[in-house]
Amino acid sequence: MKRLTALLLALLMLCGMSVTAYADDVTISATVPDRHTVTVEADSGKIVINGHVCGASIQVERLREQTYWIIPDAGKTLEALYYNGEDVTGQVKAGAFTAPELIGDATLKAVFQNAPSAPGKEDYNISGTVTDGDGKPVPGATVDIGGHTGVTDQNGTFLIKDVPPGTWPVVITDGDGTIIGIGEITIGEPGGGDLAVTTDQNGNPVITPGKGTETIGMTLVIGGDGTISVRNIKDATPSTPNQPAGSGDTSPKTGDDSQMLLCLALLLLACGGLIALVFFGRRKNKSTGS
Amino acid sequence: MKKLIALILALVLALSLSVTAFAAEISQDSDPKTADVTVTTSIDPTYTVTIPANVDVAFNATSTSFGSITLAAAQIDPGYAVKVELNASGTLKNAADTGKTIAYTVNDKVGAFTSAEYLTAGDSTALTIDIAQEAWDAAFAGDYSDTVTFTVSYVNTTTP
Repeated sequence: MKRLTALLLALLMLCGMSVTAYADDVTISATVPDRHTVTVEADSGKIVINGHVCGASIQVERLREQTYWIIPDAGKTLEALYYNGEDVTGQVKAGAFTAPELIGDATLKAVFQNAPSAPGKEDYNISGTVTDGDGKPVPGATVDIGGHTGVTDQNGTFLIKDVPPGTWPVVITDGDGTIIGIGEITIGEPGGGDLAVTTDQNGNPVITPGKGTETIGMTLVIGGDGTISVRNIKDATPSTPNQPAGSGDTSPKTGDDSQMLLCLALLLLACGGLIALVFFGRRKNKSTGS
Repeated sequence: MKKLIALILALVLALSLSVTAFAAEISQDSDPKTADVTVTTSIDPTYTVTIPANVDVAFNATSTSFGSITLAAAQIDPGYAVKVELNASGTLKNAADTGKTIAYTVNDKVGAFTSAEYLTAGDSTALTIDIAQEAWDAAFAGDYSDTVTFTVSYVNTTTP
């Protein structure tokens, strides 16, 4: 009887309840892109990413730190670089700018100006060797210094002629035309002494040619990130035999009094020899005649 | 046993008949010749609630409309209300790696929305899905989603 009552009450409760609950699921969804667009602007130069020159825009992987190389045209130098409108010129090192992790579309704008140059001054030949980070020579690469080019041989050596003083981008491309290294050098006004090397605020070499410097030697080392380190900069002017490299042509010339004492000594020696020959020749003739 | 069940069903049926009329007899001897008739009726509460539909949040959108909760039609007993509750995890999960998430909140005009009670037809709450820009910035690429549950119930508002 109790069970019957309980069942009856339960049924009554069910019938009498007016409170019902209803649930429904709703889905919220979102998509995060894996790449973003970087709009590039460089009127008097090139912006290179992963060894290739950027067009008007490029797609870059999301959340990736991306390095951009800024290559001015010949006779130009970077004046300012803007990333998303912010001036990041101070973050450009050796011609490269590394942007922070990309989290959305971005803009990169390079502004160039005329590079300082010394018109009418002497041009220089640049010879050297291109190596990778392990010191292995890089053959078949084109070295471009301010629009003047040379190609490395099997030993990685190259020669570029007639590079005028100025600040120049250094761009190395492989046989496929892919840019594999980027850097910057400055060739200054010739000094009065030996060739000297300093660095600018970005760590790029500033070369002051020495008196009589015709050829500047250097080793271009391509780092793993594509940045060129310029090492072993020296005066590589071809020397005459028995004269040290870098001293230039020091043979006596008309009006050249730098070796006057040597010349006088040689002249005296020659005269002495001639007198001795004449003296001993006469003495010999006398003794023969007698 | 059959008799018992039949008895119960009859009882339930009788109870569910909600309209009852009591007639009074009036005769020529009645004075006054009037009678009171009590008519009682019980109307079950009815209501219609619309809830937001599925929504796709655009990349980098910090506030996205989630639609509205609206009590579209209602016949509600005094002391009662239609209650809508929201159950949400608060994180969108990456389809490829659920360990990667984007935090979000469902807000009304006051703040985070968890529930609301509605009394009359037309009552409405506009909702938004808000995601902080920092959350977007840190998000890995991929498709994200989360399922939220809206529960609608009829509740006695006088009960504490």
